[in-house]
Amino acid sequence: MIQNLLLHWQFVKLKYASRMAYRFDFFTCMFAFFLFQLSGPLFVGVIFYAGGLFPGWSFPQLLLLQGTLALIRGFSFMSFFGLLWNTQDHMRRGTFDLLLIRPVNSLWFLVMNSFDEEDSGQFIGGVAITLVAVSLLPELQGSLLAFFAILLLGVLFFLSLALLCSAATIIFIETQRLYEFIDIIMIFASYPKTIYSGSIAILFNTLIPLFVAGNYPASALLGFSLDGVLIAAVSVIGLLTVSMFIWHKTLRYYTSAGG
Amino acid sequence: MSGFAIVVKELEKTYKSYRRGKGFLQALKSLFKRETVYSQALKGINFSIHRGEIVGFVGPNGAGKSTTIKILSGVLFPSSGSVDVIGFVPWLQRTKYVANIGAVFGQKSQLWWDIPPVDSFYLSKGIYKIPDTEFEKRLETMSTILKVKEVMHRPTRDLSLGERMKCEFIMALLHNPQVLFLDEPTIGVDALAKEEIREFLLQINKNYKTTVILTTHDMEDIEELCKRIIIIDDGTIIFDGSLNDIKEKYLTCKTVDFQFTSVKDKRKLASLLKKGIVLENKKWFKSVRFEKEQVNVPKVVDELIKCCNIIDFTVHESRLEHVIKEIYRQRQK
Ligand SMILES: Nc1ncnc2c1ncn2[C@@H]1O[C@H](COP(=O)(O)OP(=O)(O)OP(=O)(O)O)[C@@H](O)[C@H]1O
Ligand SMILES: [Mg+2]
Repeated sequence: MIQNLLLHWQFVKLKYASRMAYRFDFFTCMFAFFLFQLSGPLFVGVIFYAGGLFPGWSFPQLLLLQGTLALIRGFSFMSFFGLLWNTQDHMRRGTFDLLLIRPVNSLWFLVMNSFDEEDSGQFIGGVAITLVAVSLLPELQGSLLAFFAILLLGVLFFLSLALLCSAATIIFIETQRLYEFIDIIMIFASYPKTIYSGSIAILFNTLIPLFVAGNYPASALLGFSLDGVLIAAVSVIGLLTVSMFIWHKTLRYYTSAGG
Repeated sequence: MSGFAIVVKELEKTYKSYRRGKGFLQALKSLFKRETVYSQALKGINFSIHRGEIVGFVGPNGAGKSTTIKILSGVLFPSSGSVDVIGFVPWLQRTKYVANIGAVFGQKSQLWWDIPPVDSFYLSKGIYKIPDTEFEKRLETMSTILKVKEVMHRPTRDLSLGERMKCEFIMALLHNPQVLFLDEPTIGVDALAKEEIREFLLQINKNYKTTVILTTHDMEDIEELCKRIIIIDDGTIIFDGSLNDIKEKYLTCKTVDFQFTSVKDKRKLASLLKKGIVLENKKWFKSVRFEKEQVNVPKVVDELIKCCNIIDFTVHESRLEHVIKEIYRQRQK
């Protein structure tokens, strides 16, 4: 395990190093993603001032929700979301074979290969928004520990989604539409939990536990009610286990490409 | 431990794919009802390979060579049959198993594109947990033999195909695998580099008793490297034996190549050509193969000289390449 992590770190360093070779490109890319991250909160800000549609949430609190989502999303995109494009690329070119002949867990190896240094701009953007939101808030009544624990859950939720998409790609190869599904999930996750009710609220806390990706961590920091977080946590762990299982099972159906 | 590195029994593989309709409507229809197409790439093959052997695995396009290599290297699950490579079932114990094998796939690069090969080698060192001293020593030896000591510090994308292939070989062999799978590894490599790679392979095989399975369409590779050859066609093994056997069995003819500037007796030439099979038929150059049992080759040669103004002339045993071509052709009938 330690050895794997060291190797992972070695790889990440190498990725940055090879990327820095094109310095200009690297920094413009980071900056572009940084700006992109700011567009989400801006949008919500406009809605907020236009009509105040989110009962019980002040603007800085909303910003914190946006920030945490951006942070989780940024981290996920940087560390493993490349999995989706990477899997597809490997399938098309038949290079997935090369992954399978390495004496390491293929899933982990694929994730390692999917580290995307460009998206570190997204991650930094997320951190920045969160910090701005915190500075705008009078005082934080919540727990920092709970905040970080739930952040981790959020990351695991996205990891499960990435795994499921990757598994689908291994079998079907063409799976563009799935990525749009993930975009939609991001949008739903960016609003306060309070606007959802009934079966939708239950759905987002169980089968698709997207509240862990913004609502719960923000609530934890703000000291808001965390009702349902345990159920969501169990759901995330369950989803992750199932998606990992499915991913490994799909290898049986991998057919490589001719050649 | 048995003397066999690889034992394959009744191996079958059937690919399942879906036929896609042409145009939008058909595509829409195929969303609901897909037509499944099965293609049987391997129809129950059997063979065993001794430790330290270099075996050539040849056959026409689509014969099932790559499929076999992919199953043996743990990439694909077979449909049925059993495989034992150095005590492992490749697809079931894959992660453990692949630490003991190496592979070079001609069309797929194992080197990271944007970084120099040497950095990829260091990653490999981490992945296979190769001890420092051993790694340094092996890298030094291999890069010297293959003459890539300078080249391997340049980004992979800047390398020529030949330089890259040499680095691919180092990548595949740094961890000293017991079995090496090569699927068309010399595709697009020039004659000189090919020779260096062959030398290198022979040396590795001799020093480390590495078992090698080599797939190629280049019969020179086979002649230089392998004592044994397995021919597969349409998912079935049609020959398994030594190169000498195949030559004895199939080299029942002589080929006469001749170049000439004019013809004295056209009808005579035509009748002589009819005695054999014309392999190459240009206006001033012919290559003809004669069955030794049916034709008195020296006499034919003598008559040829009489009826044409010959300026260049050679008689030789058929090359392995022609033998293989002939075997494929017979199978097609
Ligand atoms: N991923 C795949 N899906 C469906 N059919 C496949 C697939 N890969 C190979 N085949 C089929 O299986 C058969 C054997 O293919 P294979 O790649 O093993 O041939 P080969 O002997 O390596 O040929 P070549 O010399 O052209 O590389 C072919 O008929 C091919 O069309
Ligand atoms: Mg092939």
